[in-house]
Amino acid sequence: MLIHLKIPSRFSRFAHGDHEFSLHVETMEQLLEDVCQQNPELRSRLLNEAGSLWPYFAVLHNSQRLSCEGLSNLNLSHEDTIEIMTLVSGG
Amino acid sequence: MSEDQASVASKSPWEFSFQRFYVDLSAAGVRAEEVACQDYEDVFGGIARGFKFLKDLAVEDAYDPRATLVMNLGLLSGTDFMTGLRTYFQAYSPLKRALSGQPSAMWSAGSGKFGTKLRYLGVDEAVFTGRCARPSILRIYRTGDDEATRFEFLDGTELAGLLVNDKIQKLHQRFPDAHFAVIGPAGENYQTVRFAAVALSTENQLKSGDPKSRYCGRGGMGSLLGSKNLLAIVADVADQRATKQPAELKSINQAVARGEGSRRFRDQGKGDGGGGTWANYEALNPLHAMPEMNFVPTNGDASVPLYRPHVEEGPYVVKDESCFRCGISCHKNVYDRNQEGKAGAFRAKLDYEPLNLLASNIGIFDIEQALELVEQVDQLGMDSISCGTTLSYVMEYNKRYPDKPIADGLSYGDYAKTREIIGRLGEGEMGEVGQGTMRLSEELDATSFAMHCKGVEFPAYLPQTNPGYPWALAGGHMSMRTMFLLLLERETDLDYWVSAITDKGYMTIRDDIVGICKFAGMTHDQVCDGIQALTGLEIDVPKLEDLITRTFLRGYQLERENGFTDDDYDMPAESHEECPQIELPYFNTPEFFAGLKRRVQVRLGEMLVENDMV
Ligand code: SF4
Repeated sequence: MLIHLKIPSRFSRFAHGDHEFSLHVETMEQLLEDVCQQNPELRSRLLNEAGSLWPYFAVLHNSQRLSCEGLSNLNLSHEDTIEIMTLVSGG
Repeated sequence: MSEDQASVASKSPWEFSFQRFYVDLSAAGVRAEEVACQDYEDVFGGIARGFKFLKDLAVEDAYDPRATLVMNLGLLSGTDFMTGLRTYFQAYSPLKRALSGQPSAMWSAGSGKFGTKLRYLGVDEAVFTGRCARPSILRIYRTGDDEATRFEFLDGTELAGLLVNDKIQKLHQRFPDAHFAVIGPAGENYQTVRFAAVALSTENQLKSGDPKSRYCGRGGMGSLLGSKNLLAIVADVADQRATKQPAELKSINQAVARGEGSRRFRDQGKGDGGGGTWANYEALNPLHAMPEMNFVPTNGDASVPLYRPHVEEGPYVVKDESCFRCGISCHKNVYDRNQEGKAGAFRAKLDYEPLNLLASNIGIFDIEQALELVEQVDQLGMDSISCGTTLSYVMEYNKRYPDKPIADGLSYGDYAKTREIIGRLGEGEMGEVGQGTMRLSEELDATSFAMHCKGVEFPAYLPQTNPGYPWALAGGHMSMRTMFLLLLERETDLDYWVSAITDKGYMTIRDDIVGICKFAGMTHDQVCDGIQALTGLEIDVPKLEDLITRTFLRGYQLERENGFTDDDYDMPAESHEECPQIELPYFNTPEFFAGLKRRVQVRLGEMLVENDMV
């Protein structure tokens, strides 16, 4: 199924200028793996050595923020959007 | 800028003027001047105009009565641009200084509604010199729409010694239409507290009676007001009726309230919000990339109870609240949970920086204790960043030198003693500690773990991961946006960091030129559109970027002209040491930093030439 992925725009320089992707995948893990395979420089920016998202990211599924639990039980549907948002902020 | 200057037509800077009031506190005299704008700096105001104005006004002693304190607005302060609420205090700081001892130009900004009232009064800028003969209140007021703005000096003796909120509530009873800028006891004791803040009142504070001020914290601007014997400034005028917003502004304000830029600061409960700066705990601590114990993270999970979700499990309710007409609602106000499970007594407003620096970084991991300390520091009118970082320095010093302790041997995690010391500090009884980290560490000849640059204490981001700190003009997270770069981008080469500091990091000062909150997260395009819609000023992104660059360079130039040499752009020695528990690349070595410094200084010199500033 087709899933739309949005990552923070600051990471577009690690992804050939893009920060929005549409990928044919079944799971969240596949989604992250595919986008990092296509854009190897993204891997260390998004994922830790275990292949999980760094803890300073939040995930939004169809614009709703997911809890950790929600993320591990996530079922994707065709045309869903996943957005990765950085949590760190200050000022 | 006056309302009638707003127009859809594009105007050049020299078609604008602004109102500056010279306030001689010694003579209790005021002179008004309408100044024709010469350039974009004049039109924008904020720190762009402030730095220009301060250029030839350097002093040897920040507390010299002849020293100048500028209070002004940015172009969008007090307008209908959402978050356009900023008031700026600018001066040669009692805290920031060169190694040679000369005070350095600095600013501090705050929201609340005080700036909006100044705008209604037509006060674009007030320049204070001299010193009031007795503790005073300055009331700025206007009795009718067609009346001139007037200034009156009132006896402030009855406010002396009161906590911040007590001062504000007392003033509110007397001047119900007004908003207020006040200092706390710390500012009154300026000789012994160099990091006092100026508190600005909010609508929520006046309505609820709760201590919910916004603070101009950095650089000791409250100490400076105290040195001028000015305890409060009252902006006393009725609210103006809302005017119809230009259509473009409506969509910009929607972007401020609901767009991507502000999303991280909005509440998580509102669907897609990031939860505000408090979320840094959950983001940084798992990598041990968050200050604990004077900026040396422990390798454990001691700070976990301070995460917001864990706090909400306890007998507390966290509410997101806001300044005047702001849809971001970044204030995370903590209340006791009452018997109905709802918000009861107000406890404290928690942002990441005060929480971290007055809890984890001083070895306190209990939320109840943290709430008490944050609120105590706010109420005494001190900058929580400078206060917290100075306390952690004291604790580290006492740990290393148990034979010659200072501050009654204050130690990490000792809540009762910390509370006592903070109380005495705010009351002016801890002169050594109140000098701030730089002066104290010099006095003790123990500077390697004194966490400051140029006398301004570090905010709650590890210096080990941020070699950009020395080039921040007014505090490391407000004026040089390099503190998250290693975490997010993981680049460790020199070219990257030179560019991060000299091309991008300083761009964050834009909002202190414009008059809006950084939390709005606007793009330059959106800011230009908002300015055009509200003022008619002809401005585009390249011009805006040029203005920001000139302002940054002017600040740097003021440093260099007032005693700063290359030696001043350094970091505490221990921030270059490897800290294996931080799960981020180690790169800020002494060698790396020496190379970076050489190249940044050269590049800044080139930029001054390119901008015709030498
Ligand atoms: S973002 Fe926060 S500080 Fe700024 S105006 Fe809105 S509520 Fe106030």
